[in-house]
Amino acid sequence: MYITFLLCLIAAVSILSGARATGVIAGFVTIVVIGGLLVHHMTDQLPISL
Amino acid sequence: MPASVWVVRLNVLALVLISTALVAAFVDQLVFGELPCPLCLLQRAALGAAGLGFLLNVRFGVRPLHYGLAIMAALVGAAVAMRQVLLHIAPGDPGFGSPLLGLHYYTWAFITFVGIIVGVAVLLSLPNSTDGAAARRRHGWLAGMVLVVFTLLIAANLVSTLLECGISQCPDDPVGYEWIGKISAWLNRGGS
Repeated sequence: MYITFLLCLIAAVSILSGARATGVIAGFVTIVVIGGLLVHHMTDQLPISL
Repeated sequence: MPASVWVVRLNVLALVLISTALVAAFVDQLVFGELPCPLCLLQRAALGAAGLGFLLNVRFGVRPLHYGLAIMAALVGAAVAMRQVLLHIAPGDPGFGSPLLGLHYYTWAFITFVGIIVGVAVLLSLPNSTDGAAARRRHGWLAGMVLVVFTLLIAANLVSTLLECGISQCPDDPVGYEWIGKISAWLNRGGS
């Protein structure tokens, strides 16, 4: 679960430090990971333990 | 044509509201001792991800891509919140955690995510709603402070989640901070 906040923090720090592209990419990756963890919570089938 | 100053100020206001929601979640966790469940943590993360869109708008200018990020994060967050609402919708189910003003936090979270989507729609409908091109913006000290506080709240959530769950999967009904227990046990053994 920590991985979502880690990615979100990377995005926020990138944006604050002026790296727009890195911030946008890390932001979208965060959303994908949240969605993946939601699917994992519903199915318990994905091979992850975050 | 640059976006109007009011559009940028409304983006700062959106960040303030998201930061307030994250602080409220921390108050519930630290003052009232209600540890967040996995779905609660995902809702917090989605709230932070939605805030990234507004953060980008304030830092680099108002762009459709930034609003797209906020909307997608809000959609995923709403799906997570609705999942938790449906888990506790059966008659007689007391729900997870204590309610606030008659609604549980996950219900408030769903309302918040829908509010973010509606808010972005309103912002996009305003005159001069976007900037012509992405470029670094100058902003006042108050807006700068909001950006820093929002980032610190994301960092605080990362630390809190590591202390609660470690680097493994969080328990569905958490009762304590896993890493604090491990650290104190390690200290009691004399650090060996």
